[in-house]
Amino acid sequence: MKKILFPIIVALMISCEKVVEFDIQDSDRYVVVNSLPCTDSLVFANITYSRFFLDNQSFPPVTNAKATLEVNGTDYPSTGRDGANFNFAYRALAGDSLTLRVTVPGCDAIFCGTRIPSLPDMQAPLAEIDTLQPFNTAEITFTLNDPSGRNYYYIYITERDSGTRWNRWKEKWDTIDTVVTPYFNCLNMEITRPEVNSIEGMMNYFNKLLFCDSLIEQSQYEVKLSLMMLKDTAEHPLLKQYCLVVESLSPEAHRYTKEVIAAQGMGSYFTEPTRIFSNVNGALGIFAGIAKRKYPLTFTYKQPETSTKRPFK
Amino acid sequence: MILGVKKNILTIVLLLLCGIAKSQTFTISGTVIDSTSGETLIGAAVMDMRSGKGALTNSQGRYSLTLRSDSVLLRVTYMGYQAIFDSLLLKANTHRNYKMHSTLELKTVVIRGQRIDNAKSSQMSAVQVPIEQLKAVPVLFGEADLVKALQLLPGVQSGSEGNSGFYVRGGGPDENLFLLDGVPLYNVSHMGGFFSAFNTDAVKNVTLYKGSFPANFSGRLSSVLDVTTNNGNDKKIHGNASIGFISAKLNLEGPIRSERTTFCLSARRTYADFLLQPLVRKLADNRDYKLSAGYYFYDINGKLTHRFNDRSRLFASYYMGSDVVYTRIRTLATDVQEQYLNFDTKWGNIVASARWNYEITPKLFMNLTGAYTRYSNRVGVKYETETLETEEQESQQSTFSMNYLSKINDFTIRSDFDFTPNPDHSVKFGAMTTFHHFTPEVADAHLDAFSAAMMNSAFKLDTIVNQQKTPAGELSLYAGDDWSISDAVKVNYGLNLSGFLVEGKFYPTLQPRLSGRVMLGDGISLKAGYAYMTQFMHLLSTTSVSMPTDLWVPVTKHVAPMYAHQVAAGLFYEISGIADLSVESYYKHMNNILEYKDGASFFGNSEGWEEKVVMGNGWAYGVEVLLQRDFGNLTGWIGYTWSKTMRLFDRPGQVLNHGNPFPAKYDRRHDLSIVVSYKLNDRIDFSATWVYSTGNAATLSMQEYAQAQETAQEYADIDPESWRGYLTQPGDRNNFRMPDYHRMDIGANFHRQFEPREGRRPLSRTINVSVYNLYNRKNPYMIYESHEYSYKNYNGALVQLSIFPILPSVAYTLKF
Repeated sequence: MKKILFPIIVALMISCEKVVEFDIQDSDRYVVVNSLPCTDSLVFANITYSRFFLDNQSFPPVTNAKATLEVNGTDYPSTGRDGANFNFAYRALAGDSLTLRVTVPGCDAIFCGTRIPSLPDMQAPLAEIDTLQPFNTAEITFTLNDPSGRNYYYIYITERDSGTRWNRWKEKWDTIDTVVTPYFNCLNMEITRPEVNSIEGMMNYFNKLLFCDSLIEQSQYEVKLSLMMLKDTAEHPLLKQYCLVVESLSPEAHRYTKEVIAAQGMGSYFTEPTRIFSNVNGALGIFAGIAKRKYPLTFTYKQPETSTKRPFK
Repeated sequence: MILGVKKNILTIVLLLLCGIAKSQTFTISGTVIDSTSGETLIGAAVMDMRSGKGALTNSQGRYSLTLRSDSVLLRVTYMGYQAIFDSLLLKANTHRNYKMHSTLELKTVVIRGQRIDNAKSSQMSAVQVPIEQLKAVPVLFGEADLVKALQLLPGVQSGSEGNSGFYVRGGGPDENLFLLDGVPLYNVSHMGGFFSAFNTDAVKNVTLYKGSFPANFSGRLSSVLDVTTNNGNDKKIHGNASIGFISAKLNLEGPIRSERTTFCLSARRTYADFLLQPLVRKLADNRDYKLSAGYYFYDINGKLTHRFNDRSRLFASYYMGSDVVYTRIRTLATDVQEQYLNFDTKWGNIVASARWNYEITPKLFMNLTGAYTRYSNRVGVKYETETLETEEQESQQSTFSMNYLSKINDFTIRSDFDFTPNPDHSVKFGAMTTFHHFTPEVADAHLDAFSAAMMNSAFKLDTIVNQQKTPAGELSLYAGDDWSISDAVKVNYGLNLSGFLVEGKFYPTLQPRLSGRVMLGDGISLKAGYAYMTQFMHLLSTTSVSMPTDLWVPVTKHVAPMYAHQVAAGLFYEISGIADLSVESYYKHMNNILEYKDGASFFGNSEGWEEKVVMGNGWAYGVEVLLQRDFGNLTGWIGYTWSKTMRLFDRPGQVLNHGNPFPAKYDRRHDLSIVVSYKLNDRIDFSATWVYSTGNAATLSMQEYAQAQETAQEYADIDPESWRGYLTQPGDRNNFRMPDYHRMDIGANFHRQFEPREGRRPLSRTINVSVYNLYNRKNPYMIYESHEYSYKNYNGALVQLSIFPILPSVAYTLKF
């Protein structure tokens, strides 16, 4: 019976795929200007063309573009181009008003503006880790002073990633020493004082927490991050050089990030395609300021008083 | 506004009273039933051949005909039954019941979409389909499906491949009112929409209204599907049992007390979960991992009927249908630790109703109904770990469970009256009130102390989220009259006054209905109609398939009711001895319809749903042609629809597609169905269907561009082939057409009547053989972008997924 039944079931359940013929032409490509001026680095703008959706090539840089950054009324022409990145000899400061002007032959004028928000007003975090649980669990607490007005935050944890990695494009081993957002089994955020049950609209996207202060408008509140790490990666957390990053986002950066998360989070089968917010006139992309604080995390070990058992392996 | 309402009501009442004053008349009333089963016959025609006056039986099989005092010759006709002629001298009010005999010849009519009373009725845009005809349509997996058979009629479109979704004249899937014995059903789909919730064994009569709605219907914009279930045979117990490709069914009916009390019980259950168990076990056949999983659906229909006397009957109906998905996983995590994960999902309806049908006078019938409807879906997850005691540690157990529940409870009381003052008027009036109780998305989590500690207090031990309940009240009053002004002119006019109370806000609506026909000649009529409909509920759904996470929500303070105006006109022609032809055109304008904002998804989360939708308008127009032959050995129909359905969202802050009109997702220019049945002899009949429609619309994103990054290193790390690191720039909404859809299905029935043994019941059996998608057309179910294929000189391609190749099936039915 099984010999007959299984092939029938498999034949019925099998899906049929077929390439669809269509006559849509490769439509006109757009110029894309992306720049997220941040207080911890020199400003640069990534200027590329869009690509037809059936291509999977890298986005071609706009090599004949000219870019100028205007900071509080002073012009800073780009100092050079590295691939698609146009660099400027200016490090953004909190409160700066920035305008980016780009000219591309054959295209309309491209311009956009943003303001660098004030730096997050916070104290250095305290970090505790408990390695006696099935997962290593950690708590990171800090105090954040929320200034008046609407403010937007993006909080995440980074780790240093160093060593060698196979570069499949160049087909050789690269030595890397970079910073990445690590994978945690769980990352939760609570406002512990005053106690807030939920933060409206908070989004957790691959362990990056995005929220605005609309429901927690308070001059000072305490934040607790709870996270669980896999044993193998967190056995020696000090070696990973974890850092807590708290970003204060401009309204443009918040809206853009929120829409990107919404578009990528659910997948195309369940939503209509999303038109992502852009504040770049004459092109696609985003120009949005970010003010960032970064704190290395020094974990102290938390020993539950009642436990005498050895840690799980 | 109130003055206007009063004026309208006064006008209606005056019109209703017209023509009541006549010379001395008497009323003949009674019931028309099937002589074999005792089932009442709905829509049978009772006509006085001398005066030419007549009446149709109502949904309880009752008729009332008031005629002048004279000798009358009554003719009672009903499709598939031998006509009855009855001559009498009318001197007083008379009660006459008629038992009609099924004719052998008419059993050969296998498939037919019957327009109500053909060219002579004032009702248009309505189709009444005998259930035996629906059962004969060849269908998916051999499972007779009422809704899919109705999709073959013009003006009704299906959603995606195999789906029982219903799109009527440009309306959405939530704009259809499904009534089971007069009580609304919320979820009419099983198995993600591949099957409908109606078990054809339990159904007696089906009427679909696509427009020109009579005044007694309200609550949805686009259609009303009125399904009546069997009362049960009042002579003897009999039934049928059938087994098909995916389900088994049993239907029993008979008298509890002869010709007084009857019952009808039908049950259906799929058994794919039993068949697939060996396969599932084989997939997870190892020491460390055990899996048990399955899916099934079932439904049960029950009905009790008690006849107190010829004037009074009581009906009690019950329906329960559910879909169930379950998964049990047992994992040996380590030598001393086992983990158990149970996942259970169940969703479905319960409907219970009691109806008292009473003849107050020969001219006035009453139906008093009390009903309860519940739709619920529950998702439960339970995770347990068990660690055995070792030398180094004590035994430990931890449990974590989560439940998610959404439900709607409705309590309804309604009264309906049929008043026939004379043969020229048939008046219906009544009232209905419903108390809705919406409980969307209650989630609860339970942790034991160990699990809570493990989660480091991120969760509380017992947490219940969102216990918000939304009560709402709905009220409806209606009155309507079917008035024969002359032999050539007949009108049906009425008013429906509905209101909805929610969150302290009351939405009243006055909905006029009007339709009429003019006979242009023998068998030719011209009809026209207008209907205004309002809808107070929305279905939050993300995909085109029916999901258990779809949520019904009421209108709110901020989201106003939807309403629609529809006008239709048509020509109806009985081509003598050949076929019937009808051509109908319609225009429908819909207001306050909802669409999801770009990127919005509900996927089981209605929180802040008002922020995720935009409100706008839509319009649809088209022409429907139906050529139908319902006599002889060759029967069937050809239905063709040309239509256009558009949407416009240009209100401030609620803009889609730059404020420009765009085609609706199920806008289809052409839709063609050909249904043919041929009876070879008494033992064999064949049927075939062929459908063609324009492809569904979809939104395609033509351009992709880089996502902004904070560092140059992050730009360098973007993998061009990965889904991360780039964004899409959508084109206009629904700017792409999927390939056209077409398919042929064939079926054959082989009947055999067994000679009854001494003292035994007569037995017959039918073997149904059908083939779905005979020429194995790969119709699109879903389209997506894939870089595993290439198209022309591109490194990727648009790929369509087809789910149903050629599918033969066999079903065996035993009748006793």
